[in-house]
Amino acid sequence: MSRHGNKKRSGLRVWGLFALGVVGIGVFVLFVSPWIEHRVPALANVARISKEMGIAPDAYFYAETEISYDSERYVKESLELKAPEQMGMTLPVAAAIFLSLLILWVGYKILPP
Amino acid sequence: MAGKDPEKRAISPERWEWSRLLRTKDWWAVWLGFLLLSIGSAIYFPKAADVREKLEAIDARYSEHAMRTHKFKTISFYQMSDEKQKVKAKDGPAGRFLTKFLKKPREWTGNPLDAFLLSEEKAADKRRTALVKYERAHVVERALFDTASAMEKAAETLSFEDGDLNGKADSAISKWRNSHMKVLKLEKDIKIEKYNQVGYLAALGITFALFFGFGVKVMGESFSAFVKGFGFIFAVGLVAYVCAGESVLKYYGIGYAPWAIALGLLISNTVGLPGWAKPAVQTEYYIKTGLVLLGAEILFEKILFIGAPGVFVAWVVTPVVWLSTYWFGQRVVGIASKRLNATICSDMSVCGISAAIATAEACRAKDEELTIAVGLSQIFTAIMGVVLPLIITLSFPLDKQIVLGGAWMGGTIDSTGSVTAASALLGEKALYIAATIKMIQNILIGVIAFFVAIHFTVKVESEETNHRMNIREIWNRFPKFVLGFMASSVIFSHLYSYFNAQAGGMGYSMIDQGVVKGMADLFRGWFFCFSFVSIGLSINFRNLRKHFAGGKPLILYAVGQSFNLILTLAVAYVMFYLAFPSLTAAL
Repeated sequence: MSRHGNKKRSGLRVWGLFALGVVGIGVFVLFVSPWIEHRVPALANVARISKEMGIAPDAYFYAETEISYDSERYVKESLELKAPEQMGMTLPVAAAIFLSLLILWVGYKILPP
Repeated sequence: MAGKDPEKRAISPERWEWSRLLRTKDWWAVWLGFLLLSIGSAIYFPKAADVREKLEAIDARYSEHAMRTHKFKTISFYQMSDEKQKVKAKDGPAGRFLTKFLKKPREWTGNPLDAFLLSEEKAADKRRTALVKYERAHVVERALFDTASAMEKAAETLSFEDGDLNGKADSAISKWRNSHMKVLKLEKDIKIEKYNQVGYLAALGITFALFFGFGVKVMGESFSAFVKGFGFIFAVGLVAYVCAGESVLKYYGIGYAPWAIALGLLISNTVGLPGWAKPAVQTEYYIKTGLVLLGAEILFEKILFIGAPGVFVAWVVTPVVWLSTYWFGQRVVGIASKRLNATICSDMSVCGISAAIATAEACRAKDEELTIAVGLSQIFTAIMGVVLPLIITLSFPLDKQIVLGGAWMGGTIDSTGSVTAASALLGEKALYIAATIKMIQNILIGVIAFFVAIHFTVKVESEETNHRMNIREIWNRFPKFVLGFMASSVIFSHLYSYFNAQAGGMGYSMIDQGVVKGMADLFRGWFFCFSFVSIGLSINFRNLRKHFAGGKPLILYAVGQSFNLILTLAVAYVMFYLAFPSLTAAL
């Protein structure tokens, strides 16, 4: 009887915690975050500019936001037009790639197992 | 996560068996990933001739007029670029269907149901509001266009030889461009239409269940049990996307990953995961399939787009920071788990969550270890996204804020989204530089994941099993999905360069706006979301706390990121201002 009672209380406790978590998430999403936006000007500024420029601040990888492609296009075209000799696989670019791989190779050799 | 416990790592079979090609999740991730990439290629590649013809027609129409000076980008240069950017292989019935079918729940404000449904009445309301803004912005844009045209003509009358007039024309054209980009964004808003995603999402859930269920069946597990359980994973994933779609949180850069983990944790640590849902908790299966798709987005030619300074900032600083932080974590902080150490290093030095996922899988990190890395990344990204623009504005000389500030943020803030949002505060040019640096750094994921896989397979696991491995053992233990990940990257990098050699911008039209945006990217987001849900559902808070003992991961992240900030700033300054000033002037 007592064990059954404990089990029931424990069941109620976990469901209570779950409900509390769900309510917490709901309150945070629906009320807290919009409230913070109005209280922290720096965040409000980021949000405003992101909206205006169509930026996706929640993107994890470059391909997830169109602004990456706009940026790539801007930079590539600027160099193609004004500094074409510095575009493509130039000696410094090749050296930088080689150096990067060399650093990793040296790291592989000296890192502790 | 099966197969990730130290005991299970240690009993990897020593003999190669061909049946593993159909019996392991590693290989199934490769097959399923390549199946989707092949379907994408079959849909979009037959359009190559048509795309090439369109691009050549644009070149013929604009090229001569656009390139009449190299002193600055003329109006027709931008018009040519805009026309080319509209040519997309995915702009056809199949691409439009896939985009609609795989659409995630939408952004919403106030009412979560708007994530799935938008009535005609509400859509009309949104259009009306957007139209007012659009008309206002359009008037400004026309005025700026007229000014830019007049300035360009004035510069042209002196054959573009007057530096002062060229500078004024360049500045007027830049102002028009910025205004034009805003108008383009508003143009999308005035075309908002009603939607009802419910039917599509139900069909999508069934499609994913069958897609992954097929592999599960061949691997010898129960198809029906998986399909039943997958409904639960899909439902939690949908809730995670709805939470991430709240417009304010979205603009803080809080994406689906922390929500998926948090919801999973909430369930597993309170009411518990229902037994019938357990067969679908397949973190590795979803994550590795997503990573093979991610490989197709890692296009090596892109690292050449910003010249040597960008490559030094993104590709030389990053491995130095990675290795130093790893060493610091092992020798100074004393992080007990090498896998947690490596995952945090990638998370912090490469590009946040996507790098953490790839590294965690390459070194077979535990779910809790990836969760800690994701949590740290979210916290530091949010802080740096606000603090770095302030530091740059308050302390950098005015003439260095754009390029140096952009490069600094691009090289140090973890996720692409936060980099773009933070750098936009400094202006469009800073945004473009920051996002391009971040893109180049994104491409380093493949190299880092391969390095980590080799290091852990050959050195760390040798030490754990107390014997030196031969080539066969190394092959048997090597995470095979990494091969699929690398192969998809090499194949699509080659195709990207091949198309670019056919016509300028064709790689963008066929790969970026074809197989990547019309296939790989659409599926990958969902797969990563399912894996984060699975991670949350399989973690116990007590285990998570154990890894966080003494706040060591936090110390490691903070010290590594501080070193990253200093080194990136120093290298960016040397490269952009001392070594390649002419390139910097061209940006």
